[in-house]
Formats: sequence, C-alpha cells, structure tokens
Amino acid sequence: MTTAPTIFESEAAHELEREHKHYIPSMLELNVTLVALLFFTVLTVAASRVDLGESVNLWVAIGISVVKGSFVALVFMHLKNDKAMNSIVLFFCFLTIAFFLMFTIIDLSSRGRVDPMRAGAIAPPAVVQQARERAIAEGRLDLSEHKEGGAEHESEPTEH
Amino acid sequence: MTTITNTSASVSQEPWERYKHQPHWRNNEDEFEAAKLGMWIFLATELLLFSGFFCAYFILRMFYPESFRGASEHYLDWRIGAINTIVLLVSSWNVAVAVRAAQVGKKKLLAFNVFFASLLGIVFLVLKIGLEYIPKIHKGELPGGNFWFAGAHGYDPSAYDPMFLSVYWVSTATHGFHVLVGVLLLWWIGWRALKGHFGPKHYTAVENIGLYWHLVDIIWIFLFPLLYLVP
Repeated sequence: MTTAPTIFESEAAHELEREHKHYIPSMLELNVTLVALLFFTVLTVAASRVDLGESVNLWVAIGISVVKGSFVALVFMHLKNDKAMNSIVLFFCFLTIAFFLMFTIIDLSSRGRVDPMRAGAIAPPAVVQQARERAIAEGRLDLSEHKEGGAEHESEPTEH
Repeated sequence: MTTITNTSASVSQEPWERYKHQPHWRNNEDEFEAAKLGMWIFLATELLLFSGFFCAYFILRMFYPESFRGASEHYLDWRIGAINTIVLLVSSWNVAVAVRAAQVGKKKLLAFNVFFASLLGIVFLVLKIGLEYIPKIHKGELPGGNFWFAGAHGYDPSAYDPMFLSVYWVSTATHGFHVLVGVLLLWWIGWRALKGHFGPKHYTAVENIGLYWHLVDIIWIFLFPLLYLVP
C-alpha cells in the first residue's frame, strides 16, 4: 500500500514553494514616486491660480488628485504588484461611490425642474431663513413669485 | 533556507524568524494575504465614510459656488494646507521605505522610518490644530448653527459660509482623528520593530498599518485642493 504524503510533508512543501515571493520595490522607485507626488502638489496649487472656469478648475483639481492618489496606491500601497483581489475590492468601492455621488447629484440638481420652490432647499432651515432674509433685504429674492407654486401646490389637487 | 526544523538554533533567532502562522492557515503567506485583503476591505469602508463628506461638498458647492469660493479664500490659508500635504506625502514615503526595510531585514531603518513618519503625523496635527482650529474657534468661524463670525477686513460672510465650514470641520476633523489613530499605530509598530518582531518572513502588521497610513494620505490629497484651492 503506497502512502500518500502526510499533511506535514505537503504543508512543508507548500511553505517552501511560496516563500520569499513578495515584490520588493527599489529605493529609486519610491524616491521617484515621492518627487512625482511633490511635483503634482505644486501643479495643483498652480492650476488653481489660473481661472479656467468653475467646473474646469474643479475637474483639473480632481484629475490631479486622482493621479496623485494612483501613484500612492500603485507604488506605496503595492497594488501594482499585488494580487488582483485587492485592486478589485478598491475598484468596486469606487464604483459604489460613483453611483452614490451620481444619483445624489442628479436628484438634487433636478428637483427644481419639478417644483421651483424645492430648488436648492437642502440647507438647515435656520441657515436658509437667514440667507433668504438677507437676499430679500438686498432685493435678490422675491418670495411672492413662488406663491403660485411651491408648498401650497401639493394640497391643490385635493381642493379642485 | 528550510523552515521545517525549529530546534535549538531558534535560541539565537529574532522573533520574526520564529513566527508561526495561526493554526487555521496553511502557511505564513496565506495568513499575510488574508490579513491584507481584510485590511483592503476595511480601507474600502473608510473610503465610503469619507465619500459622504465629499458628497456633501459637491452638493453644497453645486448650489452655492460663489459662497464656496469666498469662504475657501477667506477662512483657509492654502499655504498651511500645502505644507500639510507635503508633510503627509513625505511621511507616506517614510512608511513605504519602512515596509521595504522590513522586507530586506533592516530593523533600525524600519524603526527609524516608522517613528519619523509618526513625527510628521504629529507635525500635521500641530499645524492643523494650532494654526487653524484654535484661531477659528476664537473668531467664531464654526460649522452650521454655531457660526457667529461677523466679518472682518472687508470680508462680509455670505449666509452660506456656515455650510462650507461644516464640510471643512467635519471632513478635516474626521481626517485628523484618523491621523491621530495612525500616529498611535505607528508607535506600536515602531516599538514592535525594535523588539525584532518584523523581518523578511513576517511583516504583516507593518504592511497593513502602512496601507492605513497611505489611505489617510490619499484622503488628504483630495481634501487639500477641494477645500483650500477653490479658485
């Protein structure tokens, strides 16, 4: 009767086989990454000094941050040389965040189309109240415009 | 080379050389990879936590862009933010070098870099609390309904400034708390490094605490331009 390798033998073989397989980054690699990160920090400050328009400036700032974050994640956090599973976890995390931000922004940016009174009405009431009193005093806002629609609109269907 | 024997030779060995994985793992490598995957899942939940603050930021900036521009320029000094960015980037480099030192078995280099990174973390917190938080509390530049800053030097606060400051305080304070936790974790790692717990064959904790520190760095990389550099 042939004897199968004992659990101890197979375990030892397995251990030997998988030892010392981690990627070790070179110092040059780490130093170059740091210099790149510092360069992009200067770049993001410089980019904010140039007026490219509200949304372009925002996207440039986010874009540079994504590049910097990628450097940190790929080199310092070893994702570049890791098992794919860690990157997959990160990818699905970002996917979740993208859905979260996308649907919240779509919702809040389009409420005004349905009901003008609700446009922008997400601030704490006291803050909104202060802001509105201020705006009325400065003649920027006339609440009488909204009296036809707005909150009263909801009860109208039952009356008619 | 062989790890089967664990006899009298172990007397002269460093603790990391004697390290044996928990019994439910096949080998040290599987334990390392599993711990690291667990760390990445934890980091994913951290990103989800901070994504709520980023969401608040984007929504409020979408509604009140002019207020955000004035508030960012008036309440925050971009130079402090830039210095803190550099401080955290360098500390991240230190931690990356520390992990490498563990991989190649340089105990002193590992401990030095870990303690230096924690020192930079303390510098970050001192700059943040000393030059930002304390003056802001004295001047009433506080979040939401606590805001009482009446304006100065020709700056007239907009009614929506408290909302910018809400995002600023909540996101940076949560981030600052993470830095504080990171500093304590780095001390723990540095202390264990000096005791010889980490080496080429076993450095799981250095790797995972390093991942945490890098994530805190990445979050600041995003917070800095969004809060301090609104053009």
